[in-house]
Amino acid sequence: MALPLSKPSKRRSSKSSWHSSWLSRIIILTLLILGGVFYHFSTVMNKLTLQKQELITQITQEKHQQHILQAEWSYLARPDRLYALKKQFFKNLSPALPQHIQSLDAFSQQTKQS
Amino acid sequence: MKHRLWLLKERIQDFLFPSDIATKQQSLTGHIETHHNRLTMIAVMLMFGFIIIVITLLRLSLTTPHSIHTTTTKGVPRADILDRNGVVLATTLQTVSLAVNPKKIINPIQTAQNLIKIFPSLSLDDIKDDLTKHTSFVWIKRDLTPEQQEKTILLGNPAFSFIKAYPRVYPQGNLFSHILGFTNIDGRGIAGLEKQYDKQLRTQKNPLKLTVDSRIQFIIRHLLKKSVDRFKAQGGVAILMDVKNGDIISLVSLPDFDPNHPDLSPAQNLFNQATLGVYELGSIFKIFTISTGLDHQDITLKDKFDVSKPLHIGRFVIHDDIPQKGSISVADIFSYSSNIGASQIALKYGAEVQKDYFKRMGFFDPSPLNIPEIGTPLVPHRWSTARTVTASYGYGLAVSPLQVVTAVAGIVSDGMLPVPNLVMGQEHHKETPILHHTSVVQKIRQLMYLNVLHGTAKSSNVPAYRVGGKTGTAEKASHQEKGYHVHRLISSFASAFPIDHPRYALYVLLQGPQKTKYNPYSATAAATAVPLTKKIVTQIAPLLHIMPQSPNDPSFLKYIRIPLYPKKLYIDSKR
Repeated sequence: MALPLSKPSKRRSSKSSWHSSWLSRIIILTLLILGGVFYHFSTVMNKLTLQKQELITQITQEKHQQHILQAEWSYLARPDRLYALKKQFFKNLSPALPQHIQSLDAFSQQTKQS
Repeated sequence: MKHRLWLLKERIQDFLFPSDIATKQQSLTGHIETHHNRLTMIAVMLMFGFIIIVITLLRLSLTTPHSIHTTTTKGVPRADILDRNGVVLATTLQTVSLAVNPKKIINPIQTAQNLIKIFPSLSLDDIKDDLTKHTSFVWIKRDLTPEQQEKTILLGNPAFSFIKAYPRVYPQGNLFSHILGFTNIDGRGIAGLEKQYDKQLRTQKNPLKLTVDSRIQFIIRHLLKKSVDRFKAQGGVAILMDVKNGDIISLVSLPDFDPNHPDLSPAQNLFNQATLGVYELGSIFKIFTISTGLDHQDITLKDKFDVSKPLHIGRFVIHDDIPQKGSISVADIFSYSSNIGASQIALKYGAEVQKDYFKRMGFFDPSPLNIPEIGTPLVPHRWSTARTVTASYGYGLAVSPLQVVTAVAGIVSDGMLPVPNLVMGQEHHKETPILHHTSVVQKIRQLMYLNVLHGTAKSSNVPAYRVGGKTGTAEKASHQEKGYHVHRLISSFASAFPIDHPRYALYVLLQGPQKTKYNPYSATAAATAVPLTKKIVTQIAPLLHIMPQSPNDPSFLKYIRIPLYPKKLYIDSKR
């Protein structure tokens, strides 16, 4: 559809008819509304993209922190350190012997008998 | 205002001297044009200024922010290595180090005083010396804390540069050194799993999960180290393997090293004796000799062999450490570890059968474990009768401890050779049959349990966990003396537990144990490796979820009893 704007020579001649054309008005109105909607969506998208970037940055930082904490925990909970702490604070704590271990069934039977 | 005054003056003149109106009108037009031109010029200049501001703003917003400090990066982050429970065994941490270009320093003394406030552990004189050097690069401090880095940035000195690095960190220290290996300064794996999985660790983010358990590894290493110290041994090896799938739960080789600083350890500590070292391992091989005879149906457990006299084969004279009188059964050959008896069994089936079985047990090829430090077995080129005899009790053929534990795991589980494995999800199905007759599996279990109750491995008995095993005491080969050191031993013990349905095979080895106050009469396996195995099994079995069971359970006794064998299997509950 050729709009009058693209042909200014004809526009003057059909100026009155163009003004009265309801179709043209609807098209312009639609274009304006669409422009507004697109602008709105574009703004929302920009905001969401920024939020996403912030979240990604936060997640990366959290993962980095978690990574460091895991390594730190692994270092602090290493068995030789725990063994040294046990020797220092729980001198009487000894490894579990076979007689210390019982199945839950045997334990419940003993409880019933007693 | 001036303009208005000027217009007012002009109007007054026009009123007083009307003749000059035409001239004045011309003059006024000229003034207006001049002002118009000036305004245009100002507008153009403002526009240029505005354009420059817009371009600058665009450049600042679109390009990365410029820092006065340069930051360079060394190395790349590698994926973590975890144990089977998710404990971090190897990780990469980002660190920042501070370097300075002394040529850019304007006031070295002031800069040094500023730096010493941030790094009080450094020496002021050292920093001053560094800052006055005629060079363009000087290290000031490695591995800065984030706080120290922030304070240094706030000094705003363009001579500072920060170097980011990704050093590999091993939080468990020595515990897994021979398994993990280590990386070089460029972050490339040069030993152990770090080398084997170098590309995967550098390119993938997912951690590498291993089959090893750090708790079990610690217990075994701790007890092995105590034994090495107690018996003044040169080193030790311990391997725990899941017999069903070949997963390595623990692998220790002593001496070991700290992979965080491998350069600080002596070269011999970097040698993995468990997988790279190959040794003549002695009487452990009687497990393989007797299982071959039983599977090839040349012998039964009831068969008897005369072991009363030494056996002469060529230049070799075969003796027994515990001489027996007359003929003894195959079960007693196993229990008393009779070299003469094992030799006669091997001679009965011959060299070809022995070679065939040993090949299927994996003794002729390097172990397929997924680390690069794998030793190649030393196999004789010519398999003579003498070689058949010596190989029957573990001489003349050098294999790694890993190969022995793999073969034992295969024989006691289902007669199929497992593929040893260190990485979760890479288990291989058993494809190589060692034994043709599954009934032999039960017989070997019976022999191993009998050996723990009445044989050379009495001191390894943990009745509740039903341990079965075989000792091996080998004299070390001496290249200088072209023979063997009588007093330099390799004492080892191969075991499986619970022996009626084995889940784990354990092999411990002590290199060169001595007679000490703890074992004044002997440094053999029975006095060194066997008690060590007992301690290890007692401590690790609960962690492996093995429930203690009565050794006098009738169904167990029925399964483990050797028909017509006279010795009792009932265990006194007070023991």
